[in-house]
Amino acid sequence: MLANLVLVRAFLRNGGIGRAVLVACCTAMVSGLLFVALVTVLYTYATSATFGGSQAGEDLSDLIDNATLRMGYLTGVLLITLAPLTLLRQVLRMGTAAREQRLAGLRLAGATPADVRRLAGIEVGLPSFAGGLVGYLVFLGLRAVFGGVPVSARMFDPASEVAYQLRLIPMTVSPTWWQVLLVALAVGAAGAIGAGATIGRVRISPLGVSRQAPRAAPRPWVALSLLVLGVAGFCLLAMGTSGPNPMLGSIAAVLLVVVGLLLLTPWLTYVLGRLVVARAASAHVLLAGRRLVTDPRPAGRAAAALGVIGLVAGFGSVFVTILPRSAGGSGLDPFYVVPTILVGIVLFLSLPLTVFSLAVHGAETLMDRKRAIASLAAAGAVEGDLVRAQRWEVGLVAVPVTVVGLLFGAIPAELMVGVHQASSGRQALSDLVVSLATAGCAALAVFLATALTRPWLRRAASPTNLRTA
Amino acid sequence: MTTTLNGPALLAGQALRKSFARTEALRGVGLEVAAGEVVAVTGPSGSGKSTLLHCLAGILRPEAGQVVFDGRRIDNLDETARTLLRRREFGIVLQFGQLLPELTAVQNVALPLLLEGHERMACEQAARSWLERLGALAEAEATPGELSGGQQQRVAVARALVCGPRIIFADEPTGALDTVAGEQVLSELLNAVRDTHAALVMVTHDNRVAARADREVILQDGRLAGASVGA
Repeated sequence: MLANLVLVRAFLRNGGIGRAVLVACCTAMVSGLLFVALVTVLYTYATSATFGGSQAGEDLSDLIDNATLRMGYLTGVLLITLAPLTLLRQVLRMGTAAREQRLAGLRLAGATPADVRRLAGIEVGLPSFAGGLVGYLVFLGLRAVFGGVPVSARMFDPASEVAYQLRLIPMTVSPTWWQVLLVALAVGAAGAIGAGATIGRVRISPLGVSRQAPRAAPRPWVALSLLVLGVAGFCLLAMGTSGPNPMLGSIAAVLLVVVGLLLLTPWLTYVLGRLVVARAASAHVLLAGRRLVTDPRPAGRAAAALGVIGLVAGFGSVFVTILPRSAGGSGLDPFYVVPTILVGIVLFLSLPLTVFSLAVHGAETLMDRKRAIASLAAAGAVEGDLVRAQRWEVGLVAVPVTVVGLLFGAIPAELMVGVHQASSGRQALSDLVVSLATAGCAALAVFLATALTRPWLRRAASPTNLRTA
Repeated sequence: MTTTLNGPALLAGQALRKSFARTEALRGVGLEVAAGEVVAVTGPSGSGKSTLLHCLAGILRPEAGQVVFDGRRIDNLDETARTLLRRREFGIVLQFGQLLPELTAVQNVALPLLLEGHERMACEQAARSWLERLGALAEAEATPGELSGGQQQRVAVARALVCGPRIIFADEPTGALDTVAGEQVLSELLNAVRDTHAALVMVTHDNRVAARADREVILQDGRLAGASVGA
């Protein structure tokens, strides 16, 4: 074990530190949100007579105070972890070529396949665990903003309804030391398992690394089934036949649609790639399309978060027009407005994570193919050609996935709201504005992601790569 | 204008110098190539053969000296201009790994024409005709991963020739092939070059390959160590 740690330390010092820091940042965000979910559960146990709790309840937002809404709130908090998790998955791919070469070197030096797996796991598990611990600080930061008389509430009259609805994290309960350790260990283990998955499809031998035969093209059936089930769930809710617990039904339907959409993106990527290859008139589009057909899964996964952003935005675009007014009729009811604005902020904050995720995917893909790209540059492809191909490759997935997300968000929402309200002029305008803004954000994400990968593109096209395998 | 044994120089590299970190790869090398001439550049590993080829092809910029193509100095052109020159006037064949793994053979060959903005059908037709000429038409729809080393090199040769280049630069074109496949690829490359009247500058450490050239220049430690006229 000590030898493994010494080796991992050497790996981190020789080029792996950037990846380790990014892994720790991602897992810190994830565990920070997990701590928020944990204290919400702890608060439930501490205050609920059913569970033998004795503590008096805090003056918290209805989202937590109301037992039915609390489930939805917890689901929302857990769904937000998807953004850093998507980024984590891409970050784990960083430096794949160099890492695989290093692991092959270890095999040559006598390491067994189990040693290699263990080292790869420790290399990611340690920063993940560290990130899990740092997540407690993230949690404390979030609690400073959204707990007790939170910083955010001080911007308003503390006794106001807005301030009250911003009290989203209980102050009277905190995770114990062993709970903090448990969450950090769980996050560390998840990181290590993720690292194992990244080398799962390669065979690392003393003579180098070989990839297993490419997997069959992605199939849509599981994803489509989940999406259909989710939308059907919303239909049932809209018809009022959802059974005894409509909140549980809603959560199940939301989860089905989100998971369905995440699983659908690789297939969508593959289909879009094929369509484009058949009709491509330029080298850039052909290159992009063929890349997507050849390797649709990582590209689809990188863009999947945009689909979820589209989904939430589509859902919100319908509800934003029917927000009810306060009892006094003085304005929109903060009970609805505050969560809506918070969701908007979360979506906005998710965008940079998604851009980064797309950029990491792009950079890794370029480094994987650096010799072919250098040869293409040698054969006469100027930097502009390579940039355009790259932009098409990202955009061909990102924009359609966002639009599909918008549709799968808006359709259930309209089912729930009711056709008579959904067809109003105000609703149509809201749909249009949100759709255009979301598609614009997706296009911006594509532009920024390709701009971020420009240094790697230059590195991949460098003539020095013509000398190496 | 500089002249060579085979006529006026199409390409001339003069007093070329290039270093990588503290290693001087080229120490004032000069080489002229006439139109339609086949020149083999040989020498031991690390002698600067590939660096010379890359400088002549405009892939690398020499630190001193100049490269003149068709009476025009090219080493002082910017990156884009040199790249466009390579696309339109030069063909490049490397030892291995030069094909885009996700494209089919025909798409790989058609790529330089597509980058020039030609219509896709016409590009693919031209690509097929070159693949047929090089005996690789049967593999037109295969991706590089499905091809043998020899087949991949035929596709690479077709890609180098598809734009009608005036000069082809080949860096160990048969270096990764067995003797039989290497001989076949070399014959096809030489036949195609002679049919199209293009010049060929070929880096090799294989004496049998060098013997097929019109002229052989030998490099050692970044300097010209000798030259001989071949068959």
